Amino acid sequence: LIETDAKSLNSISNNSGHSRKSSDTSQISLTSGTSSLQERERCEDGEEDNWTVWGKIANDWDAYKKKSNYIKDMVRKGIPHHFRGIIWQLLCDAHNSPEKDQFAEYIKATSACEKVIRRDIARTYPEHDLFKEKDGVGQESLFNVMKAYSLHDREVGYCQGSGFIVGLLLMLMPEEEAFAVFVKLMKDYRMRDMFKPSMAELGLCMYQLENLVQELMPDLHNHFNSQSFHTSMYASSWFLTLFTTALALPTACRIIDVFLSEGMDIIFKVALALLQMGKEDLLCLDMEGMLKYFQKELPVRADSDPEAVMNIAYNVKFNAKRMQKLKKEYTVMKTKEQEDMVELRRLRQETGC
Amino acid sequence: MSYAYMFKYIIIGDTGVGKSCLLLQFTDKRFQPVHDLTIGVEFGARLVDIEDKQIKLQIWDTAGQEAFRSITRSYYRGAAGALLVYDITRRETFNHLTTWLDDARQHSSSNMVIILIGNKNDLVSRREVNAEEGEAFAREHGLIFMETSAKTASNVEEAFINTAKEIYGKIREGVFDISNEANGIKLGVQQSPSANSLSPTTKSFYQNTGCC
Repeated sequence: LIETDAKSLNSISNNSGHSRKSSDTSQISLTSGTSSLQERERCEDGEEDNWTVWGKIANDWDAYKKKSNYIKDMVRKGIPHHFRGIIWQLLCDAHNSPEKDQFAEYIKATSACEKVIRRDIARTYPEHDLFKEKDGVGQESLFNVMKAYSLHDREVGYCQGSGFIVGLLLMLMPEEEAFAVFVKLMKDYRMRDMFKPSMAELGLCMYQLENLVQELMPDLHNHFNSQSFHTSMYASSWFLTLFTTALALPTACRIIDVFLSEGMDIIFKVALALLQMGKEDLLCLDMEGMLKYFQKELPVRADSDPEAVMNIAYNVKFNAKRMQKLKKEYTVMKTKEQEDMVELRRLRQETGC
Repeated sequence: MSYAYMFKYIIIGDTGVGKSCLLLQFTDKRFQPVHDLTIGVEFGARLVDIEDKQIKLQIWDTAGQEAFRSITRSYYRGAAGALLVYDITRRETFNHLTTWLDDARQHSSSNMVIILIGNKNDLVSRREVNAEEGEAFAREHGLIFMETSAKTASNVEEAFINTAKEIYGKIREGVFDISNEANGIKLGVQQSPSANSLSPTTKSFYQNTGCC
C-alpha cells in the first residue's frame, strides 16, 4: 500500500504544474514542486507521529468519526498524502457504499455518452504522467469511471469539468473506489446540482460569491463592477472542478481534504482568501490584467504557500443565514427571468418576429 | 499598448471543433494538439491593423457543451463579433449550427458580425462537410464564411481579421453606436469623447491618440 501511495505522491508533485494555459507551466511547476518537496522533508522529521495518528484514524474510523471536532481539526491541518486515498473515502462515507458493487455492471454496459466522454479524455490532465499516454491505463480508467457515472445518473449523464475531479481521485485510488467517492461528491456535496443540465447551482454560487465579495471587500467589488468584470470570469472553474484546474494539485488536495469534511463552504472561503491575497494587485489592474492575474500570478502565489491560503480561508467568516437569504433572492430573480423569457417568446410569436 | 478601438469577440460552436486551438493559433501562433478542456470561459487578446488603425481584439472562448450555455450566453451581450465554428470532419457539428445561430441572435446585439468557420480543413481525407455546404449556409443566414485549420494556421489570421474589417466598416457607415459599449466596441482610452458623434469625415476621429 505504502509503495503505491509513494508512487502517487511522486506523480502528483511531478505534475503539480498542471495549468490551464501551458505557456508558463514550467514556472508554476517549479514553484509548487519546491513546496511539496519541503512538505516531504517535513514529513521525514516530525511527521512520524502524524502518520501514527492518521494510521489509527484509518484503522478505527467508526470510533474516530464520532469525534467530529477532532477530525475536523486534523483534516484542516492537511491529510498526509499517503493516507488521502483511504481517508477521502471514509470522510464521504464511500468506503462501504453499495454503488461500488454496481461499478462492474456499469462498465460492461453501453452508455449514450461514450462518444462525448471519449472526446474529453485526452483533454483531461494532458500533461500528467498517469493520463498523457493515449489509450494508456489512466485514460482507460478515467473513461470507465465517467462512463459508469453516466449510466448511474442519467439526468446528468456526463458533464465537462467533472473529469478533472475523477482524474484526481484516480491518482489516489482504484476505479471502483474513485467511482464510489465521485457518486458521493455528486449526491451529498452539491456537485450534482452544479453539473445538472442547466447548471443552476453554479449560477447560485456565483451570485452568493459576488454578494460576499461586496460585503467583505467592497472596494474590490466596486473595482470589478467598474471594469465589467463578472464573477463567472474567474470563479466558474473554482466551483466546477474544485480548484483542480486553477491551482496545482497539492494545493487542490488540501482544499478537497476540507471540502470532504466541511462541504461547499470551504470553496467559498478559499475563493475569498484568494481574492484577499490578490486584492491590492487586482485593484491596480484593468479587466484584461485581472484575467491574466487570475490565470498566472495568483495561482503561483497560492501554490507557493498552500498553508497560508488555507489559514486565511479558515479565518473567513460568513453566516449561513445570509447564504440562505441570498439563495432565496436568487431563486426569485431566476423565476422572474424565466417568466419574462416565456412572455418575450409569446410576444415574438404573436408579432411574428 | 495603444489602440484606436477594442472589439469584443466570442467564439462558439460544439465541443471539440477547435475553438480554443483557433484562439491559441491566433494569439500565440502555435498549435497545441492536445488542448486542456475549456471550463466555462477562457480569454485571449491581440492587436491587429485594420486600415492603418490599431485595433485590439478581446476574445472570449467558450465551453461547447450544452450545459454551459447558461454561462456562455451572458458573453454574447456586448460582443461585436462572433466566430461560429464547426468541424468539417464531423457532420453533426454542422447540423447544430442553426441552434447556435438562434442562440447567438437572440442574446446579442442585432449588429453583431458573425463569421462561420469550418475548421480542421487539413484533415481532407476525413471531410464530411463540403465547403459549398458551409458557403450556402453562410449565404442563407448572412454570415461571412471561411474554412480554416488551427493546426496549419491556414486562414486563421484572415478569419479574425476579416471579421474586424467588417465591424470597422460598419462603424464607418455609422451602423454601430460606438458610444454604447453594449455593442462590443470601445474607443481607445484617450480618444476624444466628442468623436463619439460619428462622422467619417472628421479626420481626428480616426486618429489613434493612444492610451496607456
